[in-house]
Order: sequence, then structure tokens, then C-alpha cells
Amino acid sequence: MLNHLRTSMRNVRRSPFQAVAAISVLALTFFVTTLIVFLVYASSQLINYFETRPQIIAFLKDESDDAGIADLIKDLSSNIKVKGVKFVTKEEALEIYKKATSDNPLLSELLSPDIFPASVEFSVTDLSLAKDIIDEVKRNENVESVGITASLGGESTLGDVVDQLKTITANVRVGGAIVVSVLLATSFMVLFVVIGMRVSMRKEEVDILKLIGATSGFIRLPVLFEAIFYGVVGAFFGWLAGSVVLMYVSPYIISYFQDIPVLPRDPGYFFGMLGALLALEALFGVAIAFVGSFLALTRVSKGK
Amino acid sequence: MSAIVRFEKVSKRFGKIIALDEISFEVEEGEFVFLTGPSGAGKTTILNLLIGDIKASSGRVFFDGQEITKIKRKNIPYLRQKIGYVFQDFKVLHERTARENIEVALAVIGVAKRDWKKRVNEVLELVGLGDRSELFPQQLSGGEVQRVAIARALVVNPKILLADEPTGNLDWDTAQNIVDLLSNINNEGKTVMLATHHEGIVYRLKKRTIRLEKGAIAQ
Repeated sequence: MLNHLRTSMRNVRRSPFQAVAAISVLALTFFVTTLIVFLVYASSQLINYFETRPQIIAFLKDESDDAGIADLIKDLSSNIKVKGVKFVTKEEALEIYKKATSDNPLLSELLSPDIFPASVEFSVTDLSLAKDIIDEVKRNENVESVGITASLGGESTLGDVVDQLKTITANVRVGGAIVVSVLLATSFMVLFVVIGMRVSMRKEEVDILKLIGATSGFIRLPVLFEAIFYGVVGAFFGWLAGSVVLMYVSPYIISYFQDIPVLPRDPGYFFGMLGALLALEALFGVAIAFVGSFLALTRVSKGK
Repeated sequence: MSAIVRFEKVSKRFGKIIALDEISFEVEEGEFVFLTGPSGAGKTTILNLLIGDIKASSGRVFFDGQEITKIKRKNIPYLRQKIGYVFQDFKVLHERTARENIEVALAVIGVAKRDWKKRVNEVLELVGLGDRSELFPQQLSGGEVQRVAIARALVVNPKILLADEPTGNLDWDTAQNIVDLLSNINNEGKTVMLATHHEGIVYRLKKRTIRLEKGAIAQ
């Protein structure tokens, strides 16, 4: 086995330009793959954020009694279409207002909690159910009015925004899959051609080895190891380049999206993700190498 | 002594050309046999049948008690590992040194690397290349390259040594040295089959000769 490894490394050294070409194309593929995987992750996180944050706020009448409010919370909590039910007191509402206007303290200086209504915040599991649930909550005698998360622009646009995000995410996924597929196919072809050239160049050597009793495995293993070397090294460099780019842009992305966790904040989780991605990409590199070298060897041995 | 090679009414046709026509012969273990005849007489065909490079059209070929005509394709490498083959055009690996060329044969049969040096040194001494082991084929003379090929064939301790026109690309003096070397190897007990059209060599060694003409045995 060690002999085959040595032979494959000698073959790599003999034609460094072919080796560099094969590794470069594979590295480019895995570089783009790394970025696309994180792009898909970020877009999923974005949707998840908007889908899970409180979307609907039921403002309560001032005369609402505790029992009525408790009943409303109980009803919402037991509804499987509703999640994240939270009661917000008048005092808490004032605090939220103060926080929102912290850049201009004058706006909240003279306010008392009494002018803010208490409210019940909740989300729906599926935004298409929002309208029915809002209508139902509006009919509750303790509810003054129902509002939608302000940043989303109001009731009519809530679904639209999330739908738009979903469309973008779907496009990122499909587009990413297409780009990665094209790059993988290109890498496969380059590897196939390089290995084919290698085997063709070594045809005389292979013929001699066959004549002195070399088995098929003895001839194929160095070629396979060489292809695996390209696959793994290409995957590593592609991953490394992608990781460096991600680490460089992460602070800007996190700062831009602020509360939205589009990238993992926990370094352990972030590097864990990168590690898992490296393992997966290396596996893909090996798979491409295995199939490419097998086909190249078969093609050359048939003399086509 | 028992027959290590046996041909029983073996014919080989390439399309309409009859390369071998129902030939039968035996080679005993430890024997030195010349296969002679003009080009196209069928000498190389016999050797190629023995290493399973081609299949007989009819008849049966036996080597070391095994019927080669029935051998499966996947088992041909194992047959070849028992045979040392020396070619007219040497068939050495040009980007490897003399030593590495010989080591390749050991790697092919799966000999542990720790045993290579001793075995390679032995055959290099035997063929008289002890001091040239680190040179590449292009740094060696034709006769020396052929010695490398002989050493490669011998290092696996084959049951038989086949040589197909091993002197074909060499001058007379060098050719004589190579044939003497093969004769010495035979004297140590190795079976040798040497195909040649060089009558001078055949006359010089006075060994058993199978003369071929148009695919048939002439005597």
C-alpha cells in the first residue's frame, strides 16, 4: 500500500502543471460550495428569524380583567397554530418604547405606563393561518385591536415579506445547487481528463507491468491514490479559501444584521460547522476522484 | 525430470494466417531449449501463449501442470508472476534506475520491502551490474540494459525464463555475453526457453533446438 502511495506521489511530482490544474479546479468548486452552503444557511436563518419572532400583537382594553386576559392567553397557548404567546404589561410596554426611542430620551420622558395598553404577543406556525387567527382574536371582548409587527409593514405585507424571503431562499438554494453541480461536473471532467492523460502517458509502463505479472489492483491503485490526492487537496484548499473569506466578512455580516443570527455567533458552533463542511467536501472530493479515475482507467484500458 | 511446458496439438490462427499449426512438444524442468526459425515462424507466438498474452485457437498448453488454455483472465497475472520474460526491446522503465526496475518485479509479486535489497543485490551481481545499480537505462549500454531485464526476470525466482530474441538489438560480442549469462543461469537449474533466429548462437551453445517453419516444427 505504501509503495502505491509513493508511486502516486512520484506521478504527481512528474507532471506538476497537470496536478496544479486539477487541484485548482477542484479548489474553485469547493470554495464556491463553501460560500453557497453558508449563504443557504444564512437565508434559512433569516426566514426562521422572521417566522419565529412575535408577529401578532393583541392590544388589550384598559378595562380588561385578569381572568379575561388569562383566558385569552390560555386559549392562544392551547391553539396548535399559535406559538410564543407572551403577555406584555403596561410597564413593559413603556420599557419597550423607551428602548426603541433611546436615541431621543425626550420622547419618553414625560410618559407614564398608563397610556400604553397591555398586550398579548404571539406568532403563528404558518403565516397563511394568520388572518383567521387575527379575526378570532379580534372577536375577543378583552381585545381592543390587533396589530402586526411594525417592522414588517403591517398586516397586508406580513405574509408578503416572508414569502419574498422564502422565494429568495429557494432561489439561492436552486441557483446554488445549479452552480455547484456545474462546477462539480467541470471538476469531474478535468480530473477525468488529467487521469486519462496520466494513464495514457504511462501506457508503456502499464503494458510492461502487465507483462511481468502486475494485477489490475497493482496498476490501478497508484492512479486511484493520485486522483484521491487531487480530490482531498482540492477540497481542502477550496474549503480553506472559503473559510478565510467567511471569517473575514463575518463581523460585517453580524454587524449588519444585528439581532438576526444569519451566521452562528458561537465560535464553537461556527468552527464545528466549518469542520463538518470540510469532512463532507473531502468526502465529495474522494467520490469524484474515485469515479473519475475508475472511468478514465476503464476508457484508456479499452484503448478508446 | 518432469515436463514444465507441454504443447499438445496447439494451433493459433490470426484471421486467415496460421501462426502455429498443431504443434506438440515438451520442455523438461531444468532444460535449455532454443526456439529457432525465420521471422514469422511462430517463435514469439509460442512464448506469448505461455504467458497467456494470447489464447490458442485449438489444442492444449500446459505450464507447471496447469492448463493455460483454460486459465481465467483474472488469474493471468499470477501465471506471469511464475515466469521470467526477457524481451528483444528490453521493456525496462526508462525513468527508473536499474535497481528500481528490478524492485518493481518484487513489488508486483508482493515481496516485503525489507527483503528487496538483498535479493536485488544478488541478481545484480549475477548479471554483472553490481556497480551500475543506480544508473538509468539511458546511461547504460544495450547489453547492460538487457542484463537489467534479465535480472528483473530472475529476481522473482521464476519457474522458467523465457527470452524472446534477447540478442536481437545487440552486437555479436554482447550477444554472446548475454547468451552465456543465460546458459550459466540454466546451469544453476533454471529452465530456459530462448527464441532466436541467430544460428550462430544456437550453434555455439549446442543445446536442444526446436526449429519452426511456417508455424510447424521442422525437426
